[in-house]
Amino acid sequence: MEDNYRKACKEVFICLKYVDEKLFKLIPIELYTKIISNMDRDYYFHYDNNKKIYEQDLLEETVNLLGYIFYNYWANESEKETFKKIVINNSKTKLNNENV
Amino acid sequence: MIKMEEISQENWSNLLKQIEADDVETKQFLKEHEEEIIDKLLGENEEITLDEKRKEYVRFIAGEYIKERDFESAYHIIEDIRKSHNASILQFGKRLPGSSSEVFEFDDKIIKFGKTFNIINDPNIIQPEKELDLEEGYRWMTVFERLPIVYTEKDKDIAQTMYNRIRDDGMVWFDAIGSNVGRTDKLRDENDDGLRIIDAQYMEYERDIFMRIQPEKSERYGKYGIAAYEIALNEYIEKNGYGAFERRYQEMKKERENATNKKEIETVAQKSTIGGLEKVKAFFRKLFHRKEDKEPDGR
Repeated sequence: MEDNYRKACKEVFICLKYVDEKLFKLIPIELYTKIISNMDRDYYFHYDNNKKIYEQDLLEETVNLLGYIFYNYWANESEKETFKKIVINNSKTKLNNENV
Repeated sequence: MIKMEEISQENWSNLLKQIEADDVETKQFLKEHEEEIIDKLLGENEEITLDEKRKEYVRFIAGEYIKERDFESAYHIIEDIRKSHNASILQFGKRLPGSSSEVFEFDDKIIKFGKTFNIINDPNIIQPEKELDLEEGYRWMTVFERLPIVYTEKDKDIAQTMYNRIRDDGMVWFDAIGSNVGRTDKLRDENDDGLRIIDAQYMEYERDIFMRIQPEKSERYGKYGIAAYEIALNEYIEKNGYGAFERRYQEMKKERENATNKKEIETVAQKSTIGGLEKVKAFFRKLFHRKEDKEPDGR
């Protein structure tokens, strides 16, 4: 599990380079430092400049990492509510698919 | 390979410059003969320990004009880096200080201590490997690659061109001198965290910070401030001339205009699951398990 999270840190690090500056500054520096110091530097992740971030080929762990950051540092109250509902739904769908 | 008889205070900087990043043999030599070499550089002193000699060496490379508080901070961080790389203290050297910073070298890395405020998140600017708030706004950071600074007449022209371009964007580059123009050894992609052409648009944030800390300069230049970043140009500029640089500059501007915004991140984030988020929390909890680290509070 840890290996994938280190790769996810690398993917997040690169994605954050393309995020608006105002958003980036909302991430606590301690968290950003941890992401950098724990990322897998040897892992190659290609960020396609011609695609939006949601079109990039991201690890599942990266998606969850970005979800964590979005919910905790960027989302307003209404966005948090929407996010929670969608994430709960995703979890139910995943569980159903696993049980089939 | 360094020879013991070549070592002297006067010659030491030049000897360090000759060591390549992958020169394992020389680094091994420095490690094995560390105390002997420090004695040669600073004079033998049997009354102090090797750790104290290492500190004296850092004082030597720091030079006489460094403030004591800055020196103490620098020494502790350098020691930390030395231990984590299992290196010799002799691998550390010092460059000339910047306008508001002290800069040390270690292999192909640069360790910079200074009044660097928030780092602009721009893919064209070196992002620090590690950033630590010391006190009163001082931060230190490491960067990944050393800039080979070669001052030539051509660098002066490049600096002038860059100055004009940034000025057209409504900003002033204070340090527009040839020695602030460097070159990278290879083309870089986004995985390399390296240096690329700076995008003057993103200076706007730094302008406000700069004006707050340097009021005398803001008076001189009016309402526009600048960020005095070192600007590195890819080697293709040398081969292909400024035309290539112009095209690349415009491409970079367009990339930034298409930068990811909150809605796009939200679209990605909404693919998360509860289990996935819990695992992320556990992962960060583990990273922040040390007492002195604070887990960042969620908002």
